[in-house]
Amino acid sequence: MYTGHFGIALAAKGIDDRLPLWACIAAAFAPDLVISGSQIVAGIPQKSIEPLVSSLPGGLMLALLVGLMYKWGAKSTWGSLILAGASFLHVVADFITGRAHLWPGGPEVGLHLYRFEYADFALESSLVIAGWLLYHRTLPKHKQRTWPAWLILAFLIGLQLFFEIRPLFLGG
Amino acid sequence: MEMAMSPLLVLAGVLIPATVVLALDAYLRRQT
Repeated sequence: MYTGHFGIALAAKGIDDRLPLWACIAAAFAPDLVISGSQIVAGIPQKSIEPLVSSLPGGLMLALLVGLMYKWGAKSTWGSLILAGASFLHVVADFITGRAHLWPGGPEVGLHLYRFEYADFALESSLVIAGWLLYHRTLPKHKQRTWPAWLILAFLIGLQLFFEIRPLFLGG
Repeated sequence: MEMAMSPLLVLAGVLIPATVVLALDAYLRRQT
């Protein structure tokens, strides 16, 4: 899943306005950030780190860590639960659009919706729209229908569209 | 995101859109 994770981040912000949006985005992308960060910074092979954070137990552990970090930093139990949920939903969502190990060393399963671009686009755009609808209520009333608010929605849907058709430009 | 992508591409694919969204959010919450 790609921009669907942004939809989840926007929804987290919409559920609790006190959460910083950057923290919602970081939590919603936590597994990807850990995997790519470990590869870039520590040179850990993707095959080693990926099952540890993208499997169900691994995703649960990472979500727990995300929640504890926010609880430690911001002292908000409700906020930490929301962020932990956003982090774990990343793993669940990736089982829908792709395939991942159920547990480290376990079978690789998933609906692999990426095979069907239209379905993937429909699902991820729906998540973005749902998240944006929750998020935009947190904006000041007179800003909710302004162009920057709409631009967030249009930008994310446009990005997903590019993600689906990128093989036309980038090959592969 | 697809895990077959290079880590730099994955990171850029998260951080660049996140920056755009955060900038627009900051603009929307700016006191006028």
